[in-house]
Amino acid sequence: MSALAPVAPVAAATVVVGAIVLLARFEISNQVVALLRVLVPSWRFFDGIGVHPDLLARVAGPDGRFGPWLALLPPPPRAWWNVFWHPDGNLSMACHSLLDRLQADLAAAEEDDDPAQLVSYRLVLDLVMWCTRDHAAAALVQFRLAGPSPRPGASPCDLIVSSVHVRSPEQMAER
Amino acid sequence: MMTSTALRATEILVALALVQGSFELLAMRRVLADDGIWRWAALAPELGWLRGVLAYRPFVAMLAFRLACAVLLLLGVHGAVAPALWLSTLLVNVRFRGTFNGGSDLMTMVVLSALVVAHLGNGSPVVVNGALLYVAAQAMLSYFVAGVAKLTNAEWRRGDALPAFVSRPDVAAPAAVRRLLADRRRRTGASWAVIAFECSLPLAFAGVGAAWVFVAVALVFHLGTVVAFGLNRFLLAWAAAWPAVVYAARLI
Repeated sequence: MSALAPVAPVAAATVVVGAIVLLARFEISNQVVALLRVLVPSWRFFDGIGVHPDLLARVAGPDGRFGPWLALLPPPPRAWWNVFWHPDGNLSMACHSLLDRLQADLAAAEEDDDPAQLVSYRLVLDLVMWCTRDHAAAALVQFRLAGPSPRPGASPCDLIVSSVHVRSPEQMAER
Repeated sequence: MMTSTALRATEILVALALVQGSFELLAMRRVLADDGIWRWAALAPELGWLRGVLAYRPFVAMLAFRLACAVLLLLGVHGAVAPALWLSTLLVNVRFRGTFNGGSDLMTMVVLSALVVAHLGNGSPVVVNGALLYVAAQAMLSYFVAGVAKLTNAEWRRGDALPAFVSRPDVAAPAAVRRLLADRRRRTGASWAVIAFECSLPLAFAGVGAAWVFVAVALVFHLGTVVAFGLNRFLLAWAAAWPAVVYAARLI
């Protein structure tokens, strides 16, 4: 290898990394670009505590009477082999990411936008339907995202309370 | 570390990461079905044009295809294997509207992108060096940027961030970890240990010995994140970048 040879890959790698770092600093608004954000890594992990909402839901039978709000997404159990195999844990994290995404989309939405039209809303609704699938008589479903209490002892602050959704016959039959 | 050794070690580790990730996604494929959480009907408004590959059945077939390609890479088969892994992994992440597993998906794509370039270069040392240096630079940034972000955050400096993270509903840290971090001195010490490790990453390029020390500390660090945060996929995804770090330390 010539004396210049090591310089070329170092320079090329530096330019590519620099461009990607700069790209990662821009807020992604274009939908297609947002879908491809795995190509533009951002490495700010766990930098701020932030607000991570809890997902609660309640269900009603055909008589329309709702039961109590139930916390969905219980933490999955842990075991030593989770170093190699942890699908439940990774699924749980992905579900929580859906809540974070809905929270972000709601914050970015205009006041007169219908949240139910958001893809992130529909995914969270599907998550709720999935988590309540064992409630055989659940014909109606409602969910809310609860943030932390504004002060100790106070009730959690709701980030969104959904409208009441009717479980489709297919969903009831299949579940 | 020789160029070919670094490249092969990178291939093996990223292949293992993809085998692990593909098996885990296949195990939970029910949530991707048409009555699941990520059902196609909900995703179609955004991804309708990709129905042929991302609707439930073709997507599961693609996961199986990715698993097969990862095994081939593990066995040392090249050809179109790396580009196939790159494209299928990109599509997997697109179906999850960005990423499925956050940072581990980002690092996996970094390594796969470098492998595609390295394999396209027909063994040209300049191209392979560039690809490995790209991985090393991204690995360095991944720790360093995260470390600086923590350093500039008062909650991290005070030691309040770690206990808050392990208490998050999506983390479900073991009780022993939460007890450990309940003590102010221990959690402040743990926080500063994380910040110091992440911010000191550029020192790994000081020499091959320093790079191997970094790999050893990084292994402990990532095992700790598996225990505390359940981030098992991060271990192999980042491990795939470590050969490039050791190689870059020798080259630079």
